[in-house]
Amino acid sequence: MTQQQLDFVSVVIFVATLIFSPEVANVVGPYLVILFASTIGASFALARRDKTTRWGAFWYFARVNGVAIFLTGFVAAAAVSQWPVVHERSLFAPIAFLLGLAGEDWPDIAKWAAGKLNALIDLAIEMRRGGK
Amino acid sequence: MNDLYLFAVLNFALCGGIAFVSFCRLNAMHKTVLLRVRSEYAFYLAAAILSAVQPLWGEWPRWGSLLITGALGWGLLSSAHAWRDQPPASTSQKGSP
Repeated sequence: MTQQQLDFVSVVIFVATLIFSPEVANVVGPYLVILFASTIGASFALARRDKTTRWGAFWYFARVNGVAIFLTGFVAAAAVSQWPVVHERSLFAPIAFLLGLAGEDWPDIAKWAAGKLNALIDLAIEMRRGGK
Repeated sequence: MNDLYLFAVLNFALCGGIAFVSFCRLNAMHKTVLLRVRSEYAFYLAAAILSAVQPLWGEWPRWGSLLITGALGWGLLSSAHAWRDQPPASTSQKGSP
């Protein structure tokens, strides 16, 4: 009968075997590219923000990263349904980056987009008038 | 096999330290901090998180990885005095030469 070792190193190694197991890798693996891209985007969003406490910053970062990881698949699927030429997997990284970069500034981004849309509509109306 | 796991745990701890320092510096930044400085720490943070979990895609860290990760961590610690209260003046647009 072998005796079970219970020193610190053995416990650490045991925990590592659980964390780095193939089962975990199969579940987490596909999300690593999304995590990498959204983390870079969320880092820029964090740097743009005024300094807060570490916990405040951590929750902000976790929220932004979580939303980016959650939404990337849906946004990529919607984009592919519009442009079937593009492969869904190739969109994961740029979409995750942009979602992370936006942070929680969605109202400002919506205002900016609405302003650009208005300008585009005005231009189209002007062109139509000029064409007559 | 145990060696691989031990290296992975050490790498995880070192990368965790790098990620923590990078995160704190990103939090301390303001809008005038140069884009190259922001991108530097953004890449440090993302790369440290990914490097910490590299065994998940079958890449196990060894001495070489630990050395460069340790050196990077030491570099960040060495510049801690400059980042104590706020980003150093040289990192912002006003302070740059």
